[in-house]
Amino acid sequence: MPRSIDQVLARAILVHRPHTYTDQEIEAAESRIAARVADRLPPAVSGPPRSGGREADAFHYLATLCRTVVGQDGALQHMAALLGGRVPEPEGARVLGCVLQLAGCEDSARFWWQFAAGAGDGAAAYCLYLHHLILGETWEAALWHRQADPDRDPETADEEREDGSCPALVLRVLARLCGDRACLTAAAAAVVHYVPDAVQFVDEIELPLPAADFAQRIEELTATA
Amino acid sequence: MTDSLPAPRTGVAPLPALPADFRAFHQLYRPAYVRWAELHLGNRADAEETVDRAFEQLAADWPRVLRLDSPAGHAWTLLKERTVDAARARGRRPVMADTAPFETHALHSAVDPIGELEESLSIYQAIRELPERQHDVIVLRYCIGYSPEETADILGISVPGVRSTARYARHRLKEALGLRETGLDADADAENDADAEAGGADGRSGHAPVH
Repeated sequence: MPRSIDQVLARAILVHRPHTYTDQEIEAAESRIAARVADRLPPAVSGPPRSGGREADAFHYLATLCRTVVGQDGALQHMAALLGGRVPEPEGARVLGCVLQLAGCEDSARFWWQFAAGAGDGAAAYCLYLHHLILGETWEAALWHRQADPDRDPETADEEREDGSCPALVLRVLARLCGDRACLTAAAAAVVHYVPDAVQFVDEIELPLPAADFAQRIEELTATA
Repeated sequence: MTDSLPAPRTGVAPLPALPADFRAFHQLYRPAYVRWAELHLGNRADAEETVDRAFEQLAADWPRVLRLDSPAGHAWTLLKERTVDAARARGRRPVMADTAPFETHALHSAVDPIGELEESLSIYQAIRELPERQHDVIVLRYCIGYSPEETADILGISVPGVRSTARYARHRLKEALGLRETGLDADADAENDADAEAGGADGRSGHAPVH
């Protein structure tokens, strides 16, 4: 006997009803949630989530990646020189983003990574992927992961690429090598200290722009590197 | 500002008090959220943890959430995202579990289980293929069994919005399964809607009135 859509839908109802929670169960759930919230360090202190999991890993990897980028030969000079010119170029913007991240200025870092990634910088896109993973923003993370490597499916993120490289694996190894220690040169550390004050949000425009003598100051700081 | 990571918190500090309106929200929506997550993850323990994560995220952002046009809508989106994450983390596809069609009331009380199962499998497959908003409405209304008002509340949308979405979804399912409408097309939609609402309000009758 042919059925109608309403008859079919009526028979789709499931046996199990939503659970009726007791007061105790609700209170227990509230405690668990409160504990999770407490584990998140306040936004002013850029710390890793204690409850572990993917967000904590991503935080460590991003810190390692930023240190690596900033520590590359000529990176800081590159950043200063390029920013001193008329139009910031993606590489310098990438380094600036990483410096800002290390200094705890995550919003500013995101801005500069977006600039670099928009101009095609894969490393900056990967930084954004990790940045959004830390925030639990999986849709954005997947978007940037695709940008970092358009041929790769973010579902299989940790697998090897065709050339044998695997950025997540490399970062894990680097993270193990660096541990929690600084792994920054004195010059780079000086830059990381200086940058937050030099890059301010301009009131109306809300862009994190460097101060006028930024380039010169960076050159001074890195002259001894 | 240092280059090294801050030291982890040690010792036992008192937990921050959750805001009263957050706790009320949690108590109100938790059962629906857990049922949804359970339907997708296949077990209650995973569902409870996933919902904890969603509420954690909500709590951390609560003042901003309250200023949104639809806090419930935002919370629902967070729940779905966390459920998808949890499914993927367990190597599952982020859709309703394969076991769902086997857990219908109709199948448990069927005179002809094989025939019933075929139908159950095909309707659930068709539901999985609906666009997101239609899928959510159908699952809440017809699989879990919430009323239109409850469904609207959970999704953070209006009751008319639920009704019109359900209409589109029913039409699409009808086409997908090659089924007939119960009456004359134009009037049938309105009539069926009204009767389907009555069926939902009754709760667990499990059968829509036949024309």
